Amino acid sequence: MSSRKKILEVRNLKTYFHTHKGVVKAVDSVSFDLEQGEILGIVGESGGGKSVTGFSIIRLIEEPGRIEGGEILFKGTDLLKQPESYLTSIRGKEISMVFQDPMTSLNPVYTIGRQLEEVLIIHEKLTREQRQRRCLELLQTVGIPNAEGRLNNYPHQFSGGMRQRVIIATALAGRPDLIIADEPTTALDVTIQAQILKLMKRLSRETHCALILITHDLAVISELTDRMNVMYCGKIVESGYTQDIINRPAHPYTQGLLSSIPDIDEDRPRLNTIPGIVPNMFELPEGCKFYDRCPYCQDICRDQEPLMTRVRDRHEVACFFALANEDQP
Amino acid sequence: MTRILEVRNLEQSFRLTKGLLDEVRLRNGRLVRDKVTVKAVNGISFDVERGSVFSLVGESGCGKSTTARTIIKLIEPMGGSIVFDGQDITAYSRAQMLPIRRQMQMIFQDPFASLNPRSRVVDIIAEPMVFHRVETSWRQARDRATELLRRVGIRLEQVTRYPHQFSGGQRQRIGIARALAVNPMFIIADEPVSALDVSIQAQILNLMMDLQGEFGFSYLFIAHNLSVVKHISDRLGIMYLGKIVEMGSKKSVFSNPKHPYTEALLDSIPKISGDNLEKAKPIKGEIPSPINLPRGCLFHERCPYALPQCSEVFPECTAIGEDHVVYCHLYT
Repeated sequence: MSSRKKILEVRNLKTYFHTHKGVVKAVDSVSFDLEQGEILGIVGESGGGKSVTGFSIIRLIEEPGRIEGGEILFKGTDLLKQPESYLTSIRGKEISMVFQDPMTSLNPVYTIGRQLEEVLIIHEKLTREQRQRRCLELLQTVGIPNAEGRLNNYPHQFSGGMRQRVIIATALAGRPDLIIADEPTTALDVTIQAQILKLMKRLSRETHCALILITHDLAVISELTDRMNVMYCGKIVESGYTQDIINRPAHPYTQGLLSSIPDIDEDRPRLNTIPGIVPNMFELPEGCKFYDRCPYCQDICRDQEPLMTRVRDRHEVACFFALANEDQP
Repeated sequence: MTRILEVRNLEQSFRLTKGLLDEVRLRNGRLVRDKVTVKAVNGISFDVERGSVFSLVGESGCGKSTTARTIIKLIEPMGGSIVFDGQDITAYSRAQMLPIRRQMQMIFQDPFASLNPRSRVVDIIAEPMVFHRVETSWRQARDRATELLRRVGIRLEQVTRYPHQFSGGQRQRIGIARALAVNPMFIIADEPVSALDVSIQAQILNLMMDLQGEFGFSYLFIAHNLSVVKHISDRLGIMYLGKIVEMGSKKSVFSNPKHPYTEALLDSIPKISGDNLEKAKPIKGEIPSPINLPRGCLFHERCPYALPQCSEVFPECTAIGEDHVVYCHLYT
């Protein structure tokens, strides 16, 4: 897998929000990379910085937010050094995005055929007929029944699951190399979620399009992704192959998250919990951000921030006392 | 065990058209009156045993929340009966419901919308005590409210704060304390953890189970997350379009699911092991509109095993084992 070409390298990305109450370091020195056709999961609880990471990659950060530093190398070009016009030319073409809410990310006053076609008008040089044919193909690819008739329908005539399919079709229209999907199935029912997740995995494999899947749901990550990053308070605390992390979590936060989910295959009288709550983002602790909730915390954790260190092949963790649990879930 | 709640053939529907002008339509040159009704709950029956947890589970629009709200009579039922603690409360007036509500409390989904933003949390908990005359004075009520808040994990110095000063998980704790304030026998929890982060969700689920052990009340638990339901319930009912399609003890339903919809739900759950979606065949299609309910079994259009009679008649209740019933023609 490592022989494949890297299409995205994020180095020391820092995105801060300057509010009147102070500075929120929503993403703080985050580094990771992504290979062609790979599915990467970013998981964490609300406020962890996973969505801001996704939005930073295509520079969709608005005031009071600012990207303060780092590099985002997309196919070797640092997106942070390019003018806005360059970003406009690749958004929706080489990198596209799927948002959480299928109700608000389509324009209610245009037919979905028109909205699909718009991407093609902007990014491709095709004749009218070619565009029509491509729109039809796209709707068929994402599994919309009676695609021909549906092109002239408006968003309100589609259900939530069907709208999410339309949005995925729009994302695929420019034949992108990278799709960033921010909680794409959170608003959907479980049977529809299963359909959409299977669709996204199949399309990513077929088109060799890399996918960044941002979600709070570890089970979704486990079902879909090749590798994953666990984020906590704006930092990546653990990164590696998904099944490696699920089976042998090295960071106490990852372990805590995994054991606090009720598992349908297992009967437990009580759930393990992570004590306490996420710290206030305005007053983050000096050392490890997790220290006051961590069962293994020592003095060093309070004073020094742990750096990402390798535990095994492509599995890194930011913890002084990385758990050495061999094959222990 | 005796039953705290018996629900029989409960029905609930909502008219979407209001008044004559809204309903009159021109069809084939003739004026016709066309009432549009959403059939949210279509004749469901279940019991909740004293001291146990019964869950209603299903996807959005299946009528689970409407059932909960109808049972506590926030909405008047359109048919069927509700027997609570031996009393038929189906036709009870608001005044008659007051003493019942002292016994039957509710925990809501959204911890941001269900607490009065202008009230200190200690007063939010003390108010129902004074109102239902569980405590005789505000002073006593506040003392006990403070104690109750401590029990759910809100510290003494926090009790005079306002709801906006708390996080989502803490607010849900306050919501639970409010439900407990009047010592109820029965608590309806409508998606109490679905708005919370997973680490907080686990804390709240543990708290709810601990309190049940301590105070011995019963729960009607409404949720869409099967893993959560499996964790917390003794018995459960699977709902689809306002009908229960399968019901029974947790053990039997999860180890031996019979209804094709239950199977499909279980197949659709992403699992930590990461191999469920890969091997499963999730069902096609989506839930039909509750305005025009299909004839026969409500699931037949999406069902991979549909028989000719499935589109004609709704299947009878069939017993599968001890405390496990299914409504499906495959088993009749």
